[in-house]
Amino acid sequence: MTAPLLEVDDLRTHFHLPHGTLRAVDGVSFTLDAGRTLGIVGESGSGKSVLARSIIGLLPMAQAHKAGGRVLFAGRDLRQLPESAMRQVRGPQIAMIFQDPLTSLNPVMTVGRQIVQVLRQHTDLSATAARARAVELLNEVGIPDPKQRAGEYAHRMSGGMRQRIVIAIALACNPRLLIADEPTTALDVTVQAQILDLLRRLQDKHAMALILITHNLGVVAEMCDDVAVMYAGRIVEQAPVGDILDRPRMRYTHALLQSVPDIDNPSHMRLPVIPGQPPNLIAPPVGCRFAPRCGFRQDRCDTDMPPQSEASAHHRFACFNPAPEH
Amino acid sequence: MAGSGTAHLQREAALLSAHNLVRTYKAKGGRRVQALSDVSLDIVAGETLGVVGESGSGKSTLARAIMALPAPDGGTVAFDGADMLAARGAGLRSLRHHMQMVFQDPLSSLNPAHRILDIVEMPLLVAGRGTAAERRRIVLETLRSVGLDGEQIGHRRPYELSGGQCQRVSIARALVLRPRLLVCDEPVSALDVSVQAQVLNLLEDAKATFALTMLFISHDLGVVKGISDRVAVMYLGKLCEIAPTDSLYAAPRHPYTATLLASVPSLKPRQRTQQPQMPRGETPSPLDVPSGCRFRTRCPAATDRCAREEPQIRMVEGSTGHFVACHHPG
Repeated sequence: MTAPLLEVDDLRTHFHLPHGTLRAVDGVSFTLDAGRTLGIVGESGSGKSVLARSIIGLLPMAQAHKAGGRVLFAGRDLRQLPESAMRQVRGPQIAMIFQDPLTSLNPVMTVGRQIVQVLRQHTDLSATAARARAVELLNEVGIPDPKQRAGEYAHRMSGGMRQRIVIAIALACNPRLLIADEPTTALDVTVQAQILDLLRRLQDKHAMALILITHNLGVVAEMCDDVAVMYAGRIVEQAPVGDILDRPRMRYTHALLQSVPDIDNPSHMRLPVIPGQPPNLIAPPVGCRFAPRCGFRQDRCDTDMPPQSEASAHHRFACFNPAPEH
Repeated sequence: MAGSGTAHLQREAALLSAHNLVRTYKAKGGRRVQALSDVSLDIVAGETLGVVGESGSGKSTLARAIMALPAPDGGTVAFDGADMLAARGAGLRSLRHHMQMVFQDPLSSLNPAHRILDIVEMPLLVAGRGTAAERRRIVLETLRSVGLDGEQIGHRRPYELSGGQCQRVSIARALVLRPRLLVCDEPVSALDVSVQAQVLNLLEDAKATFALTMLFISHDLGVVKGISDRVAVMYLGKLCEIAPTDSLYAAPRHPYTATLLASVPSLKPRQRTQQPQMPRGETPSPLDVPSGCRFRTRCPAATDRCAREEPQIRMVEGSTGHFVACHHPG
């Protein structure tokens, strides 16, 4: 068995704030093999974006504190690399795309030049060759009239086109891992379908691993091989997508799936709700962090952190009183 | 798609009838954007009418035109027989007391400097209702009906509450005048899914408690399906299709509706007999709308006729209340 492409081990990222330490990511472990897609789902404040930025080292280090853990990428611990070495990882090895394509693009530089810049930085292509490659990339991500579009600015393009440009930039150096943080959340649903399809095709073609961060469980169902569910800074359940959707064990996962107004639900169906709010991560509950909202809480849930149990070889969850297996 | 016409109007029992609404905005360079182009709708007393569409479809403009906020450039709006657009001043204000609105962003639609009790009381003050003691009683009662304890949170300000609590306050403010029509414009889009379910259930409860009629606007087809009795689909300022919820979701007739539904990722594996067709292109600029049917540039079924002739809304043969504006309905 070969080593995984990415191994995240007990990762902790804390923020030192005036009124305390916010434990945004607090002991997260997972592995990702080359070419696979891992979905990371969770609600606002669950720590999924901080996790992604911790992997790629894109956090304001003045406030964010590397409180522990390792990020092994192709055998190297990225947490230990100096910034100069990280710059050689970001782009050629790991690329990232974000929710809002407009703020990811430079408004005063043509989109073609932005791609050329990346290519010139990380490859030895000549200026002419880089320009030709940029047009090829635009074509690959489905931009009509790529040659002409390369000379235009982002503000002239629709949201879907901008996200295609961002994807073209991310893929310019053939990264082995793409981290996509809510890549379709700002897009209309028909455009979302196109962008997801594009990501799927490009991932196949480039044999790239993908971490897809989203709050949309439908997107996870359509895109991912494996899923990690985050709650209050921790992964509470991880499994192949079918197990998560059909056989969730952790009570939070179960409740979250139930509360989705799915398009295949009957109309006027009463949605089961999760009462209350996620905890404050400056002073999270000592036991299971979901316990205060959980309908299946036991006494020990308040005092002990549930360990990761195995439902099967690839299905792990942290719950003292899990949903029964069917 | 994208049709005009009034064949779908129910006339009987309509609490609100909007006919031939047009709303044009001026754009740079003297150009004009028709955000709402000859849209007619009626909302039957007691129903929840859902409106779905993507960005730029005109769904929010529709909500505002109905409330005369601002009034549309053309068309008529009748609320329980009263002409909304002819009403002025006090007459318009008293009509609006019967129709209240809930907006998408709960935090920015609440005054950050005001206490929750004052925010919810404001409509009563504007309407000149009751004594201070009576108003306080109504405010607390309304807060309780949305699951908030006014004694406990009434003296706080919006930024001290969570997003879900703020949206409850917005709903309480909309309900405090006991309106007959509640217009909700993306009321749960800014909320996390677990909180979203709480607010959706709350709206269903409020509808029953206060005998409301509801216009519910959202880009989320799952949310709309859950709450609506009938659903209208909009595209680029036009109405494409309107039908009872189950009929629309089970058998969409407009190619745009079909495209939309096929694009929504579902948790449940759907029985797909064939690979769903990828939607083509993106919504054209509203500054430069296609001739004839506005969806034709992205429509797999488009023909020459679609470019020449705008389809009129008509009833699907053999259906109950299923209307579509398409030359080649599925």
